[in-house]
Amino acid sequence: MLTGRFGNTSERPYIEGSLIIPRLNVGAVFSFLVDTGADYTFLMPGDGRTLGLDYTQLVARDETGRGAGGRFTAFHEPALLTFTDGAQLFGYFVTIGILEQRADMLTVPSLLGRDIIHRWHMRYQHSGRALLFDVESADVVVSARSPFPSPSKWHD
Amino acid sequence: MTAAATPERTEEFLRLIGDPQQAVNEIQQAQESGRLLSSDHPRLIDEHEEKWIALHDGKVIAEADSIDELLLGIDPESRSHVLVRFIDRHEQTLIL
Repeated sequence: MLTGRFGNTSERPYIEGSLIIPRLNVGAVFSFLVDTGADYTFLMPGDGRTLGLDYTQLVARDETGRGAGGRFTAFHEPALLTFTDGAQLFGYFVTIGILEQRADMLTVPSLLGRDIIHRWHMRYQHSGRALLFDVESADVVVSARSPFPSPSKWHD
Repeated sequence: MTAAATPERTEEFLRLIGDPQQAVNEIQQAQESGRLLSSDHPRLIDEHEEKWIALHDGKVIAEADSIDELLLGIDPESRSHVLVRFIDRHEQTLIL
């Protein structure tokens, strides 16, 4: 079972996981806002800056996005999202959205969208401070003690 | 729970994440930092209001007025292991 949390001041639901973008050779851990309204997972500008993302390398531009703030431009990029319950790793090969660099969105957290949430059973009980996820499916499940071929550059 | 991973997919996964135990540890360190962000004792808003902060393994390791200033103070090799947040008492209303 995966464990999320509620923010202290915002009371928003979050879960931590890692994101790797293989084509761009970048990866990091992030705190994702669990957003059932997001069609797919989005990397927001603040986290993109932390990641050291070179936005000039993004090519799959999409100007069809719409949110409560109106239209937005994003880029699509294949990525690996990974979560853990401490004993196992659950991996998801998905195509994420990367919001264009916008100063007004710098403090907005990255979003965990329905591309992942649809594969979990979420238990959301704010009054009990419980945010739990049973993993119904994953693209890859490995034990923390699995042998591995070689060290990854993300884990120096 | 189902996982329809082919051996090739699992191999690709392991090639990307490296040592699974280390990957677990790094996410758990991020979870520990997340717990601090959710904590009432202490409340980060009381000590870092209107600041950008970097957290690692449940501890605040850097603070700055801007995200660029914050990141400049963190070894680039370490940035992938930290959570970065702006601590705002008056949170923006988000309708995403």
